Amino acid sequence: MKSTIAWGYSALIAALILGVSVIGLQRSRPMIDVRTIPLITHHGGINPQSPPGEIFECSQAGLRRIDVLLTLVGQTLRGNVTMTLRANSPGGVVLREVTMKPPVSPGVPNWASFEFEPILDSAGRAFHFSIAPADEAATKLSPWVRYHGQVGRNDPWGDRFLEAGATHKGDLISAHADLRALAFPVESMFPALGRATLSIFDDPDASAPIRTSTLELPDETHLGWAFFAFEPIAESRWKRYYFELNAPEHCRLIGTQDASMRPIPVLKSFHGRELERSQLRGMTRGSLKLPDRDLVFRAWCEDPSSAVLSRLKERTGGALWLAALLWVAATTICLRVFVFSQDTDEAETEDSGPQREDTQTAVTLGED
Amino acid sequence: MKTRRTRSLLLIAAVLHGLVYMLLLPPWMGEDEPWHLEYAHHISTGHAPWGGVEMYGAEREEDDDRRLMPLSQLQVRRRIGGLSTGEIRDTQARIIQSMRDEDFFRRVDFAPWHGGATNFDQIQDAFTATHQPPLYYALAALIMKVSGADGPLEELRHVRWLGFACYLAMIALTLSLARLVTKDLAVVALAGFVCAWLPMHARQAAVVNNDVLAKVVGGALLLAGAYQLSIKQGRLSLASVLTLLVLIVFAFATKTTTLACVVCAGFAYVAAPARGDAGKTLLAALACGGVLALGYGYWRYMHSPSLPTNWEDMSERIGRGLSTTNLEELWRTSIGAFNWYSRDLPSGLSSALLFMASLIFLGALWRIYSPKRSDRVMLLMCFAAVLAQVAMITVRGVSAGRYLFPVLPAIAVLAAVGMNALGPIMTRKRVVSGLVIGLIAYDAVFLWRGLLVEQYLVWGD
Repeated sequence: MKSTIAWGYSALIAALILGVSVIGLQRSRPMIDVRTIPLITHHGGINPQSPPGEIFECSQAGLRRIDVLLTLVGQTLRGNVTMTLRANSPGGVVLREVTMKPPVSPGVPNWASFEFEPILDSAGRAFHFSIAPADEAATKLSPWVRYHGQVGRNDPWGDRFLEAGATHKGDLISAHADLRALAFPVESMFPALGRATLSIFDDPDASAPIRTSTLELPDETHLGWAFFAFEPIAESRWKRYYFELNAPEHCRLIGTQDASMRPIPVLKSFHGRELERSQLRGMTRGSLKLPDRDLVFRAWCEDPSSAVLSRLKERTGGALWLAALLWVAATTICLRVFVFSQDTDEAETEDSGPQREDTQTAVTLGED
Repeated sequence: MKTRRTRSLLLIAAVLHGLVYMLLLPPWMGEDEPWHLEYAHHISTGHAPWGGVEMYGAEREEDDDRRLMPLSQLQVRRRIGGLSTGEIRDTQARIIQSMRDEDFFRRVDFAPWHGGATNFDQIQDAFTATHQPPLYYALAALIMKVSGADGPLEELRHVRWLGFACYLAMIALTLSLARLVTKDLAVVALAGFVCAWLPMHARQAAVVNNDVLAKVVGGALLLAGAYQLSIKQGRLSLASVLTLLVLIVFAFATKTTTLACVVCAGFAYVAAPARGDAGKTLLAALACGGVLALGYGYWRYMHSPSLPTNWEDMSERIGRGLSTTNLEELWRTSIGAFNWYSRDLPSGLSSALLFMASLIFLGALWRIYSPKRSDRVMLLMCFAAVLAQVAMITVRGVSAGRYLFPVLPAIAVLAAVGMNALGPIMTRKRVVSGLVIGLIAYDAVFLWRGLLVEQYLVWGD
């Protein structure tokens, strides 16, 4: 009888521990979490003419918060930023607008959280959000961009300005197949005042490039990475390519110098293909859609317990309940053996155990 | 507490506990599983881990072997004989497709963009498992062959049972070692429980990685050394020396992380009969030294990155190994890190565990001073083994909690002895009960608030 009670207590405590450990599990988790670790490329200071944004599909009800990762690209000033949430696309109906002063730490990216009245019927709908400076100080804030590709060449941000209005030349070995974009850091670029064109050659003496890419964004890029995207070069792995970047008059690239003290551009190369299915539909700048990259952001929804449980059931493939049952059974046994055993407090010993046989030399055995 | 019944119950509990992790650890979520499975797959298709084609770098890229295939594939070609380019390429592509299907890239925070990825260099540059000694992969290949596993996912699921078996073997080894250390059967059972319930170890019941075999070989070496210390002086038999040699060969054929156990066991074999038969002692010492030299040479031949290449490299590794960052990493990945170590337990829990571990460590130290029903020499051997393992990890310069597991039996025994030394005798059972409940709660938080949430709820895009 005592034994049955001990087993009962053990099972009860095991179940209680399991119960307590899952309290609060329904705490909200991001529905979307665009990740790029380490952070590779930032967008550059935001401006009100063509604010950066993103289009995404919401899979859950109760969309209530959007976080954007921001970093400072100028002097330390705290400005206000406005997040505008629209239905479907940059031209959609404005659903929510939030202005806040994001936290700023020089050199360290911070999440700016824009919370708003939950959109109860958000499940299955597409949304667009954008962030724009509400005052001059906020133009020194930059979001981060995740370009769709594996990083090959990965130079750090440069340490000097390169000559404006010049043609910058260089070469690279393509680390992977499907070379699809090169990114260069720029001080400022106004495509409206002159286009920047990148030409790629597979031979240093070739006159015709195998790929060209022209930056046609209608707005300024300020202290950020400018992406030159082109049709992927399928068999690019371990091949050397030569590039020429014609920067317009006003545009200064940020570069470094080589061993012979010659100024050279720095760059990042991106490789790979688009994914077939994603709830992310790509970044926007103003009304321009850029489906080959995403803004680094998180979206949060109201997450009731039932939704969390059904997601867990779906993702664990039904193993969740069996695992919980086995865990309670295993824990019950341990509690019964170590906590609810009916032995006396005095620990038992095993006289015939394989202890030292030579008591003359085995002086280290202690006494009770 | 009845000895046999307690052990049986503990083993049943451990089986159930290991099964929980088997059920809940998603495919490819064991660290480096794609590379380990790739190696085992090639062995299972009849290729030997020797006879490959050496690879060469060059000043000019047109002479560099990397023009032929990515570095991760060249490393496979270098180690494994008779593989065609197509076989190497297809194996990696199929594994990556399976990782994609099983949401690997949504779970691991630092995973790169995977659109169009077909080789491992696009996941992690210049990385391979093929420099590892072949014993684990031979066993894994045998399981694949016997089970007739088809495709990477099925192969992974079947080979994970090897990790499960190793998990149970570790608990048995810990119980055996504990019996040599103490006459207190409650402490023996407690040591087995600590080994079984340490969450990061229990998680290894479901992982494809040669660390799972390395810990069993390491544990067996410690047990052999402890057994040698426990028997009468002068009883060093040829059979026991042969046993040691076989275990050392297994160790060298498994992983470099077993080296500290090899040294400890070798030392115990030499030290135990030191006052007796000088000839046998010399024989054992020479045999150990010879095997160590052979093993080291073998690891060098395998291009193991664990071995320093020169004194400068070694000094740099030690500097890195002793850095607070490295020691923090060792602690973090010992107590709980998920999704290829990209996510952690809450920092509050980590601090609480550090506090408890310190208390238990002090208890174990007290037991060396005042052994009660324990054997001081054995306790010292356990301490030496743990210190030697930490030293080896320091020399390696790269930390991961799983590198500590070859001495887990020693850690579990010291923890059990330390737990049993806390508080006055009359309240000791309650203290131990409290610590047992604490370890169970820690396991619960690890599993249900850590692993479940991080693997199944927090998915990236």
